[in-house]
Amino acid sequence: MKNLLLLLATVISFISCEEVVDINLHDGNQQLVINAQFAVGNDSLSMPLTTTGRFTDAAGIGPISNASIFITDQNGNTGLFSETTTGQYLLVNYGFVTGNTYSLSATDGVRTAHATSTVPAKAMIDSVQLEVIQLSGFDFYNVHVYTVDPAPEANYFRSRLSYYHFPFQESSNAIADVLNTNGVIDVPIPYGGSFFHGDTLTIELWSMDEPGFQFYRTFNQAANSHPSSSASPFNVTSNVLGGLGLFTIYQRDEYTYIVD
Amino acid sequence: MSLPIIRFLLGTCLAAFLTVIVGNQSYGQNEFTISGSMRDSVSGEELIGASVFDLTTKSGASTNIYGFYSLTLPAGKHSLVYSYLGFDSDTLQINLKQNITKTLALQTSNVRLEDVIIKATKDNDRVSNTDVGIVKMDIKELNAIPVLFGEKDILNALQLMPGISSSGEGKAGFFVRGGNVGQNLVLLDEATVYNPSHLLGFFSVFNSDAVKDVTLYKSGIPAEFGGRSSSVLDVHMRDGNLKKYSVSGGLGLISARLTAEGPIVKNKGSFIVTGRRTYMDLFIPLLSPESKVNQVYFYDFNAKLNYRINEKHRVFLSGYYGHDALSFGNEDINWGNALGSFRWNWVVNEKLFSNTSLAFSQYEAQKGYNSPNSDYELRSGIMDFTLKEDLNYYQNPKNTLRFGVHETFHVYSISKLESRSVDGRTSQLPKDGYATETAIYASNEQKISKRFNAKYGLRLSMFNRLGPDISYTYNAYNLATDSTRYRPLQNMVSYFGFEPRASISYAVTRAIGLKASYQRMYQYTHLISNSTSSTPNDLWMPSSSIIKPQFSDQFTVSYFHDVLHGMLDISVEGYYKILHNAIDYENGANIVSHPNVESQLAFGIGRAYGVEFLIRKTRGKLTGWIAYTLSRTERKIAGINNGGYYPARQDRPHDLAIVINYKVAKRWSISANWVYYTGNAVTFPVGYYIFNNRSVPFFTSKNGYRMPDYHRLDLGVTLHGKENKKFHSDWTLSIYNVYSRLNAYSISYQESTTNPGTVEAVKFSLFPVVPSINWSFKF
Repeated sequence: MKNLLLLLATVISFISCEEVVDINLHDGNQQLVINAQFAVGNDSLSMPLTTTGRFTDAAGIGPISNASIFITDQNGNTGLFSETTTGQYLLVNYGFVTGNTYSLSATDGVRTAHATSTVPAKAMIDSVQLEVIQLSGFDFYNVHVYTVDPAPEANYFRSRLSYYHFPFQESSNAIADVLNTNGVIDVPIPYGGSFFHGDTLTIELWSMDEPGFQFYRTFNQAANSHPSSSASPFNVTSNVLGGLGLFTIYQRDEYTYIVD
Repeated sequence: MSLPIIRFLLGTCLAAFLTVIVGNQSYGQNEFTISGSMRDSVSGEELIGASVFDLTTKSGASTNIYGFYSLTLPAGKHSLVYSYLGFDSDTLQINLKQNITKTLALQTSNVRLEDVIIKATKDNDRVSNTDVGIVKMDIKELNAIPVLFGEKDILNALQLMPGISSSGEGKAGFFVRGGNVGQNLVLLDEATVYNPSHLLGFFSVFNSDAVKDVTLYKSGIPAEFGGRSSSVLDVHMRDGNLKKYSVSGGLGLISARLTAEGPIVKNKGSFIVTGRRTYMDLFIPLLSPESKVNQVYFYDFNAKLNYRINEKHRVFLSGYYGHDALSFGNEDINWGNALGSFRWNWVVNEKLFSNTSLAFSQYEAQKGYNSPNSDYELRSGIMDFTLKEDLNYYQNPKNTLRFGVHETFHVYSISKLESRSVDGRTSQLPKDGYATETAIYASNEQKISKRFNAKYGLRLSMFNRLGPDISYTYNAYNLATDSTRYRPLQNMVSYFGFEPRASISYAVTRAIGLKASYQRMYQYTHLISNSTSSTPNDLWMPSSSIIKPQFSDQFTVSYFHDVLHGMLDISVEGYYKILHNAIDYENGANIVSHPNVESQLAFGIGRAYGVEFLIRKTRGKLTGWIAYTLSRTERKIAGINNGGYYPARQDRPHDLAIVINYKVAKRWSISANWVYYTGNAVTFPVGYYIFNNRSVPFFTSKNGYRMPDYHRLDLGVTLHGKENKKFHSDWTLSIYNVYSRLNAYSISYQESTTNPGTVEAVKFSLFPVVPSINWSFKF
């Protein structure tokens, strides 16, 4: 629409124009950003702690050093993270129990951020199917990941794909199954790549809590977007109080698929 | 109670009311009625709002929209003054012994038009009438206002009045007292205009050569109007010269227009046909042969026939068709309105006037992309079939009743997507909707005392969403969880609206009036937009089980002061409007081609309040006005902005317009406008962060920032052709945006080309200084 408008104005007047302007964005207050996504069963819990930066020049964005980060379960069992490299923190040998609720707190001495997460039941990958999409003479694949949702609670899922040693793709497919039917649901990975006979695909299924689902439901719409182009610019739904980002504990299942 | 029973009861009430009115044609002791019409002696066109005043009893009446008047007086001798602004008054001495019909043709006044600009039936009618928040635009006044490219435009001129705002350069539609563009009912000869803009808002669909009367209701909306929650713009076309043929037109920088009119049967029937087209696209290949521009133009036609069968019956047939086309490279967008109406005026008797209307209205928009490997086309639109019966009953000089019934059948094309890939595969996303909208109303305009007048009424409306269709239930994540399928014409959901209307006025003195009004307005058809400004592809959607009807309550108080017998008007109006079931969009909403658009909407309340100031000089060599509006418009929607109030996009705290016209010499006039308004409320990011190796912007409050304030100066000079010549022409030179202010159309953020790694704000402006020349002619 903007291109057409530019065209119209140019044709009409030959003199419409663009120029760089200064907008005071009131962006003085930086916030802590937590990226704490922990899989049940991992012995090492690693997370970065960063800060937001100015929108125009990213001034101020970067890792936070010498922060105090700890995690506590509902019974008061606490684990304290230690800084390994600048802004990167590690906790070892802290196990998670399905159904328990954990609290994460991080402070740099000036700002404090806090979040909670409840460990969901684990869903297993039941089967995987590829769907071929032909577009402009090429074959693209959607990967359908089927699982049986654990009843009776509402369940939230996310799936990822890795192949040819590429890391897992950050796909846009958080799925909520709130019907609690204990039925088979599809957690698809819309993937724009092409596979060949004999390719080995590694599929990962996350069973998450609701905050994790809400975060990823909005994350891929907001990330890398142009703020002025949306009908309603919005913030990614975060469960971090006093900051941004995500704290979620998830169950993980992995599946290997050989392309026919 | 079932739908058919409700309809039957409403119809029965109307019929009973009508029977009582017609059946009880009792007159007071020796009272008789003089009725008829008032016309322009030159063209034969009916005069709207013309006055007949009895000097004996000091009572009077005005002509309605079809030029009909009715005045009941005691038997005996009377001295009646017939008057209309810009025309010589006529006095009639009568001895009333029975009901009589008298049609008058008034002569155009020798007083210069610029000396009498504002319409008034008597010198203090504006003080005592119950018009609150009503703007009547004089077409002659329109011609004096300098505008973009010299193209006279009704909507652009209306936006210079207080309480009426432009949605911005390059944006379609207008705002009225904080309402958005989809909350204005726009009518052309009784047919609804769904998109009144050409070329994304640069021009309106109204060809001023064809327009006879323009009235915009900001408040004090009569009971005969309904269906929108903010305002009503009622436009009537000219009927055509009943006495002689004439041709008029104009040639401007980017468009040409032509009008032809004349009698079909002299003094009985006439026609008028007008057309316009832009022609800038014809020059593109010449200027830039390698240009990717394919099309950029609009055209429109108006046609109207009318025939006076006899003094009691008259019929009208009106039509409009307009089309806009923009295409660049592989992208194209087309839209247009098609309207038609048939009306039958029947003077039932000297007190009862009937107008029956059958109207058709269609709006379609199409957006497409074409390439050798794939293409898509997205269509949307709406179609209405309307039947109206409106009656005016002039019971006595103190009471004028208006009542009627309206029925509309809506067909909505909400979203039709067709796409094709290289292997020929197609996909479709059809989504149609059907509904009926019924209204019955009754109102009375009453002269309670010499100083105190009132207008009060009630409109009852009903909306029925019909099948075939599927109704969905959604969960908290806007995912459809259940559905119900409906058969054709099966009722899906019904809504009922109770819409009281009231206005009062009190003439403190002959020159000072105090007024107040209250109205409730229901809206069942909603305009849904996916962008920060209105576009032709915005969707018109019906109310449903999810989308409740919007309705507004508006209170207005007004002070009016007529200074120096109409030389200067001063008015101050305050208003407060509450909007219920206001619509906004869920965070991250995606309306384009979404299979269930209603799942992307969020609902809450809105409020708008403000004060409007208008000082207007209407006579003399120097005329013009200063209009200033101080206002706020806010929304409160669950899930947005933490549930607190936030500025609506159309919030415009300050809006100022200064319009000056000066008659330099007999044939020369100059004019100037200066407009200023606060920039639109927008949402900008305040920072960003990195998550999973992706940058994520974050925002604070919704609409917490402002675009830069808008202001510009326009100048114009007109050389009027010599009068009393068979061929008359005017030349107008105008300069739009004289000091070349680069007002912001949009601001977007892009990576800097001069400083990589940083993001900069880029302002896109449409028009710096734009001179233009325009030639108008008539013979």
